[in-house]
Amino acid sequence: MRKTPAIIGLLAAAVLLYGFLVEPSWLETHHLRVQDAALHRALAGRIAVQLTDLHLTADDRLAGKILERLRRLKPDIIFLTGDYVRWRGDYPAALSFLAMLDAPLGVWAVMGDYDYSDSRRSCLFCHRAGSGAPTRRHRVHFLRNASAVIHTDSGAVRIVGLDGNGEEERRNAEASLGAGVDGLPTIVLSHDPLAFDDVPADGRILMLSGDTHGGQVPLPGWFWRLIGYTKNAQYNQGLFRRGQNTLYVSRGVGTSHVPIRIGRRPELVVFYF
Amino acid sequence: MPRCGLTVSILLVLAGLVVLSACDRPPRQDRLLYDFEMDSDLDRLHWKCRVLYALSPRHATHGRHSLRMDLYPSTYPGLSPRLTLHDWSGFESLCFDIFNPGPETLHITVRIDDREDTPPYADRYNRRFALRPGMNAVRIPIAGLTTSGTGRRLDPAGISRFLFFMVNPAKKRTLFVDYLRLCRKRS
Repeated sequence: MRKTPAIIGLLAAAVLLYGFLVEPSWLETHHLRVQDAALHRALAGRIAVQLTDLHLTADDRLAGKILERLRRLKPDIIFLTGDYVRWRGDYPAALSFLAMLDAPLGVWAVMGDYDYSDSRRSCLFCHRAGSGAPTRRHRVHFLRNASAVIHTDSGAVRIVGLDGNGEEERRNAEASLGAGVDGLPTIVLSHDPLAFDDVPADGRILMLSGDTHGGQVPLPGWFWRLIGYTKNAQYNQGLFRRGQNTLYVSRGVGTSHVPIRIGRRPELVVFYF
Repeated sequence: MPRCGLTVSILLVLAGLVVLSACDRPPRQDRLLYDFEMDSDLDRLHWKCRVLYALSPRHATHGRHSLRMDLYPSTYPGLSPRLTLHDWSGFESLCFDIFNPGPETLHITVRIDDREDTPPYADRYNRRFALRPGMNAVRIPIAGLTTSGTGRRLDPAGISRFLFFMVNPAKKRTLFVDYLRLCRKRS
């Protein structure tokens, strides 16, 4: 009986060690088939990869692993859904990582709230320093409440990007989507999954989001609601459907607040159409 | 020793009273909010798409530099500096100098909030100012800060946000701003 507290203590220490030292750098490749006829017509046989919440630093252990997996996967298109830096973090490290990304149908991105934590440096994602001219450091297309159409041999797809700058994101969701009502299958990138609530139910869109990290550790929905994390309570991780719309919330790659992950491995998501 | 202790106590109380009375007096000097002299000043601005800021040696009215603002066509390009002083009570006015290098009169809207959340238009101070070509000294009386819709007087001890912006400029505009300060009460 006397041994029980010691065993519990040892187990807790082991779980914490695993959570801090092992899982945060144990990257999972998550394969997912999208069930949407319109997207299938336009993107059949194509591979898309989503990366989110990288929270990169200069000595990031996962950056190399991600690039290695991308080299093997050879995705046709890459989607980035925000939070490339830590809070007021290392922008040059994030920009260097973005410079390594390329795909035949483009690399499409939105910004997350952390990317705006240093608003002056956030401009460097799109512009040269001290200039309004587009950056030449990378080939990533940032969509800030904007959309673009990509053409394939078998059709076209609209990519809509909702900006991750807090309230503006929510306010602009409907307006940005409204611009794309032309019958094209639509993929929406939004760092904040709560923007899914603002999409018209008959929109027939696939939304890709992040932000939640899957909670980083398994906690019940009521707990997230209690501490005011509605996004985690509502859309912690995985697939969600509402009307004809589909949302995928990736638990992302990096960590924030506490560098721990337990049962929430960092993920790179591969979509097949 | 006890007598010495009593003297020290009386002196401390007197010193405290002097400090308190000084605190209660209206400020005697202007309070500089932004002089735009250091690169770190640029870190204290809220940067937004379609606005570029840079320190400039041109049109400085205080120190050696001003803030050059390049405002590109967009909805509300302007300046939103982070405030470190939220208690504006005791000052007479908010003052800044702004140089319009173009040949036409331009208009800016000044917005001041006394709520931490984002108040609606009706519950914040909004006023349009004309900027003639050349140097313009803008002076906004603190006592006249009232909300647009409700006519409520802003709480000068709890100012949360100050910004100014142009509304939908049709082409790129450049302005130079300097010497953003709270001006003292005149006796």
